[in-house]
Amino acid sequence: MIRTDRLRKVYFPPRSAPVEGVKSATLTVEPGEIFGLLGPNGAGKTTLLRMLGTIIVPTSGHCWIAGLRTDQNPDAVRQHIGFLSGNTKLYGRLTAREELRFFGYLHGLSKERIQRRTEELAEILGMQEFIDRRCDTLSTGQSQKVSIARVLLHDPEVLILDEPTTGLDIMTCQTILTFIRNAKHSGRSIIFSTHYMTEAEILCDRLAFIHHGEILATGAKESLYEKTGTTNLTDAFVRLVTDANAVPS
Amino acid sequence: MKLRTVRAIFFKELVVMLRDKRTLLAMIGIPIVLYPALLVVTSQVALMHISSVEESTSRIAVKAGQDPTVARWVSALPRVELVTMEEPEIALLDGDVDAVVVVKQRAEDVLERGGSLLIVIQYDSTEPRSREAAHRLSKGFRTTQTRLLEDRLAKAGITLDFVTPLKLQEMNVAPAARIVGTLLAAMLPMIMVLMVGIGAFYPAVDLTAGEKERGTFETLLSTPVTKFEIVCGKFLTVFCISMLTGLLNLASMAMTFTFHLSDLLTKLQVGPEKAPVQFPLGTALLMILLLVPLALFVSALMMSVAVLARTFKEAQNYVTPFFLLITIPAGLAGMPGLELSAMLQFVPIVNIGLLFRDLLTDRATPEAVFSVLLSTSVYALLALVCATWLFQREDVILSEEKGVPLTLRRSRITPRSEPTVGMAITLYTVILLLIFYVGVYAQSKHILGGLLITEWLLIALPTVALLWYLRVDLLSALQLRSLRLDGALAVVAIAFSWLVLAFQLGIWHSNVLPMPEEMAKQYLQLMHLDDTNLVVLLAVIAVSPAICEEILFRGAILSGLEKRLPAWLLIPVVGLLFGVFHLSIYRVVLTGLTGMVLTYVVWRTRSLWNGILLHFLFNASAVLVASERIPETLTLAMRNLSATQAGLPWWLIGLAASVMSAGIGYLHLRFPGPDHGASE
Repeated sequence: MIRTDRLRKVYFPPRSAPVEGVKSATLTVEPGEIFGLLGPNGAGKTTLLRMLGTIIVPTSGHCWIAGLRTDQNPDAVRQHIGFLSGNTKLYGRLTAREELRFFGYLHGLSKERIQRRTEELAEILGMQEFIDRRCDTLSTGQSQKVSIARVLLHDPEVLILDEPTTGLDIMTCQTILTFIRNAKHSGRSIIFSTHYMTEAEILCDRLAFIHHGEILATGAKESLYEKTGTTNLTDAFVRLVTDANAVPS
Repeated sequence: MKLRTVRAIFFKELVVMLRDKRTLLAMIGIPIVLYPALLVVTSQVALMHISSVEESTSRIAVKAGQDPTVARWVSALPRVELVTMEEPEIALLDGDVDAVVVVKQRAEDVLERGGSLLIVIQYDSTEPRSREAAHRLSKGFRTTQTRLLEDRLAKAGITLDFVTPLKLQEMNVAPAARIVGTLLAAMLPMIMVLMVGIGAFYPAVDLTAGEKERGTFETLLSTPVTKFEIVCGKFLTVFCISMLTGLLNLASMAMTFTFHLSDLLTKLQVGPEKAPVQFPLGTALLMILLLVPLALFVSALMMSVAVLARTFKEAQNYVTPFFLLITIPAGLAGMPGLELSAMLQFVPIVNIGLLFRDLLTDRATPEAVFSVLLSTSVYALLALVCATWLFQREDVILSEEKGVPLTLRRSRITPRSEPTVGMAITLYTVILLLIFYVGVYAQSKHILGGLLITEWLLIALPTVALLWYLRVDLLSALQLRSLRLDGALAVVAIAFSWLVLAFQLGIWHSNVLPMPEEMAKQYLQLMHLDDTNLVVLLAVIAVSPAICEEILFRGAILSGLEKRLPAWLLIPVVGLLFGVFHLSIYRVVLTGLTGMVLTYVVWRTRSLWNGILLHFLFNASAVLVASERIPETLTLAMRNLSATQAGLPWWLIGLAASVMSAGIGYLHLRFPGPDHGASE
């Protein structure tokens, strides 16, 4: 499970004023739950997810993953996380099998376990025909499957997925969405960001709207419709943003 | 740090690098092709040039008026063609004639009356053909000269040997190794540094900026590995490839020269006839040893520079100037007359270049090898600390903005309560170098002033300045908050008992490893300085070190290392660093032990004041004893005590040891020591 308490991140770009990437994010994701993070580009989704993944350190606030505080033992925390984003690409000069072996080692898995998991995942995801090909020769869909295998290799309790479907074709998107659903059924806590409202509508148990680093609203989609008096996520989001801009901060 | 993880990263990076053609080309292709090609081409060109000059016929113009004698001599010379010209001097400058012989007197007249004929050979030294012509002419005229002389002497009834009591013959007996060495020494150092740099260049860029650009860095960061493990794995790869490139170059060069150089030397008639030329094995091994810290240093620096870039291309732009920058000092080694002085032994790259040269010409001393090895290792360590620090900054690793992401503005640095290990190591090495370069010089000019400068400007100031700049809380890092009276009293007891024990240890120590007399005298002189006011002496030798050295060692270094080392290792390490700091092998044991006592006291009582007090009492007593400015009765008592060769009487040693144990025991029982739970 994931729990955060007033997470905040301030960036200091070298030649401009400090930027508040995320203002104060408090949320919880239960096991077996899919939590969607919605917002336009630059809203702070990636920053928030990177903090959860302990890739960056929060300026203030705390975060617990699988019961461990991320600032106290980030390396142990990452053992429980599968992290997938547009920036987590594969090593082109390794084959898919070598790729999985390498990441298996980094997660401290034994040789046998890595082999077994590789076979299992190759079977489930249908990777047998290209598992021994170099990753720079794979198609986008095939690479995405290898990435999913990498994320699932060590059986993490928590999945953090940053725009996993952006820029993918319909078939590859489906692979990802199926993978997310299956992960939910196996009891993992999943947080994923997207700017495709329909995707969120279908998949998510609960949602949060994020805009300019601020979480505008959190809840199941029905409660969000109710709160904003709308019937779909796009309208709900637009309403929340308009309201937020109307209130002088 | 998990070795398994580092190994996994290392092997993966190595595979990734070796699957790249560009790396292979730089690592294997260049050395295999470069040296044989270089040697073949240069030797062919040189030989062709030499033979073409040697086999050509020199065109000589003789300007001797109506007298045919000189022209006759010249035309009798081998491979010389006599030409007639209107204005031979102009023809010489135009290259139409190779040399001009000018004779203003009538040869026959001069020779007949027993005079000396002036013959001027005009030639153009910038033209090899002209030089060769002048050489042939001089040789020919010398033969004629001998013949004429013999004729004259015969007339007087004297033999030639009579007027040449000495016959001179020069013979070059330089060992072949040295001839090869001199040839190699001119270019090898630069080539080696260049090759180690080329070897490190591509992996350093590819594994940092290249990885950022390909978007795999974040994948790596999402796994349960520490940044330090990532740096280590990547650094090992860069280092190995750089080292392999260096070794392949060395091997290729050695083979090329072994098999082909003797051939070339014989052809060029440089060395003794048919000298067997071999690349000396011992030299080669030493050079490999030297390549290690060089490759470490270059790899770490290149990685530090490259990691600042976001893309491969940007990184190339950053690393290339840096690469050129390191080849310039390497080129200095080719400068004739530049000696590897004590100062230059500590200048990075230059020292390695000059030492390579000295090794090849058989002039290197073991001391030079040692200090170059040591200083380069220190620089390599600093560079590695720098690389680790950069990898730990998320603004560097995840930067998406253009340009160097690094900001050194103080306001952007996160405040912290104690320094990091990197800061402690950096401070230690930088101050060590400062003392080596500035402190030793200042002390040689004026001993007391130099010591004051060393303590306050080279030790205390940089320490406090760096901690302040990096926003380390000075009061907590230097442990200046607490001071308890009972602790201070225990420290006084420890100070005096340790003084007695150290005195005895000093006697034993000097039996095993006696200090050279010259050094002991200097040391005592410092303590005496009879004309110096005692207050001044105490201020310089007791108060200043007590404050300044404690701020550095028991302040910054202790608090920097404390969280990373267990106590049983922490105290000896800080003590040893303190011992080494005094830059003398004769003092390292005693100062090291004193450093351990000081470290324990501060570590246990959490108060730097106790360290300062102990350090002051210890140094002040040493000054008073050595300068004999303590009350006479006490001096007499001490003389009686240390009358025997073995030193102090056993009862005194026992007493001191008991008092010291009691003091330490008191500190151990009544002070909480470091509390890791409370430090969050």
